[in-house]
Amino acid sequence: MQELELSTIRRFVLGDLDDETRRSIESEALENDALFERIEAVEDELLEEYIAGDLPGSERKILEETLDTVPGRSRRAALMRALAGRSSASREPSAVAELGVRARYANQARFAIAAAFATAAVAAIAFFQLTRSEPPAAPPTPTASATPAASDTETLPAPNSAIPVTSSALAAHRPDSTLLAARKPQPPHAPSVPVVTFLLVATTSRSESAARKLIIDKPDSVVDLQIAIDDDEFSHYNVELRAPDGTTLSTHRDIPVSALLDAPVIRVSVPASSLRSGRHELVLAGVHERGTEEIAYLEFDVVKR
Amino acid sequence: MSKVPPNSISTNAATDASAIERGLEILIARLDPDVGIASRKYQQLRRRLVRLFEWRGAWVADDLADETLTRVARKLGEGTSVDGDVEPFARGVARLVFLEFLREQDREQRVKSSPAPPSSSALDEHDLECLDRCLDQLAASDRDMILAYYSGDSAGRIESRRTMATGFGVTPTALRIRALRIRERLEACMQESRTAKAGAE
Repeated sequence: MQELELSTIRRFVLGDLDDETRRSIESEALENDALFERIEAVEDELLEEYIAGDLPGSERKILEETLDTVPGRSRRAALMRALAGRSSASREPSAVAELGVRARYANQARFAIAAAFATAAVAAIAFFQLTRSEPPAAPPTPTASATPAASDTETLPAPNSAIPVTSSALAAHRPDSTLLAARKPQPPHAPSVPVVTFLLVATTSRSESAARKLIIDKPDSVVDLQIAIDDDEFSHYNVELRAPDGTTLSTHRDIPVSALLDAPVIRVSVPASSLRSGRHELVLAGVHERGTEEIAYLEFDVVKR
Repeated sequence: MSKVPPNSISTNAATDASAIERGLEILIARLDPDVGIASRKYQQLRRRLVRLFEWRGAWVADDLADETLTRVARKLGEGTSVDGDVEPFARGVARLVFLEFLREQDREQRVKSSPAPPSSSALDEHDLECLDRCLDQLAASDRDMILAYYSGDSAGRIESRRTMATGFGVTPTALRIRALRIRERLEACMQESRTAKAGAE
């Protein structure tokens, strides 16, 4: 179906369309999340216009009729009125305008704290490695975005393990468990798989942020990609990792949301050997009942040493 | 709310209750293998059916949605094969349910001129108390958001919402949907409170 005009949706909500058009929109609306939500939003707009006295006469008359016959709509209108009353009594206008801005800064701060936590975690592991009696590991290369560290404390997918990596493989690979495991004495035969933790912040367009650098010193390491998301709107996500030439390197499906200091993150791990030098793209998609919705595109540069 | 007349579209007296129960289990399983997710999808499907009936002007939208889902469950429980998604099947059943409703009641008499349930243009004192309690139960961020969303006069609201949307990094429509979902939670909370009050009386 072509994108519906606003006037058509308004008439649909008011019950002012011919049967054929109405049935067509109903069919589409039950299967199309975006259209359904758009209709809901238009109904909300109509009610607000009605309450504010801004609704044109003809539409006002029809809407008033439906308010008498559709209890749900009537309840919504009453609640809107009450909320407007509560809002006027409790809030200064200047605070209203700042709310969204504060929300944005709060999110940024949350991600910054999460990033700092992740960095501190891997730095602690690196320090632990360096202070052990074994031959010193190469010091992590300082970069603004990547925090590589060697860890022999967890059983992780082998560097050449098959892709996609399942979400269950990630369950045992959280920053807190990494730290705890690092403090525990490990058997001498524990598998040695260096882990590189790399935090990215999801943005909604390809051009919103500059590409960050992921420096890989150890070709046999595993990269733990953590993608901070704005909110956990979906319960599961798909991640597609694309090579510099645009080919798909790996696809990770139905990944649940993890938490990094209460900030929602999506985690996937990939063998460093599967990455190539150059710019990679990561496509994050939310999974819903009708399929998937791409919600973020993240680019990062891989530098192999 | 008045119920749908029993001689029109209510479930047949001979309906096998176990078939409905079995069908509900099948329906839930068809919506998602994860029971938690399936439960959310079921509620979402019901909410959509209610809205569809409302958009048709039916004042018994809740009852018609429940009747639709009961029929879908009964069909599934009786072994009716449904290919693909269950939602289109539910939509087809919903259409039949509504047509039956119209046929029995006559649209003009029942939908527009019927003695509609009392519709209130404003909340009464008890409802307002419930609203305050339900607002308190929201997360602080949601409470701030919904109060901010409805603050100001209609002219100033447009600009403040635009600022809010920019701040949240979403479109104005997405902001409206977010507000709508919070309001739905408030409605559900208030409904629970009304039910509890009615039970106590």
